[in-house]
Amino acid sequence: MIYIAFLIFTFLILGFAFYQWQHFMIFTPKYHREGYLADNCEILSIMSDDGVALEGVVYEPKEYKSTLLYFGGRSQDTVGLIINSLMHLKIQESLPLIIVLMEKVQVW
Amino acid sequence: MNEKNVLSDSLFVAEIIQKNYGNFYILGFSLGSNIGAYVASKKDTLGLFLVGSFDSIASLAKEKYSLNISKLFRYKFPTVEYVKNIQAKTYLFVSKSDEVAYIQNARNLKENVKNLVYYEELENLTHKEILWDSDVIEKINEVLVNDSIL
Repeated sequence: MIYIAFLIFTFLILGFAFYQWQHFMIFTPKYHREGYLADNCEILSIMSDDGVALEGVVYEPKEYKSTLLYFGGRSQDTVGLIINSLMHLKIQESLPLIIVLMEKVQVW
Repeated sequence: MNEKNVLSDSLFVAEIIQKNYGNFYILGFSLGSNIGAYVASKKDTLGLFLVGSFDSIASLAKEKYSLNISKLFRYKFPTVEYVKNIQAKTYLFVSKSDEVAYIQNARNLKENVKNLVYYEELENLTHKEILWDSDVIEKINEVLVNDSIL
């Protein structure tokens, strides 16, 4: 009987750990607010109703024709990606873009 | 912070962007493609680019472990449900060699996209490599350029 109780207890602990682990697996925001951003880039910070700061960056050239809203992947340094994004997406110089990269940062 | 909040906050951000910059395109990568698809299903957008996308987290786990353990999952991120209701033109870029978002999951997603206008299965690209692949960027630029001329 004690073994069965032990097994049930173990599985409960493992289940709880798995449940909690998923949060950290999915929500692992990274950002480099103090890092260098390209010219015409500006940090965007919006406070949502649930007390979470939405962190992002806007690239806004003087003239632009299109707006692109970008959502990055899990644990991706989305704000830090702006430089890489600009290098690639400015291939067409005739079409400057606004790129908005958003990621979530918990406000403690 | 949870899945519901992430989605509602993303919609909030999209509204701010639309208010300040007008209509916009969405580019979603990996898990971000779920967020992008959700926003596109709720708001009018000029176009939706999904890169390294998959149908849902539960399906990914099923593909990886051959076990249907979706009930144990705290977060679902069901992109496959959102894309069924997206009116905007949708462009889907996936890789046959993606070690995170398996090609089977991407194909399942593809089957459910309501307005799929472009689909490309790239070769020999890992999950991280696909985002800035030259073919992907070229296509995105092509769409943006052509739409701006029209």
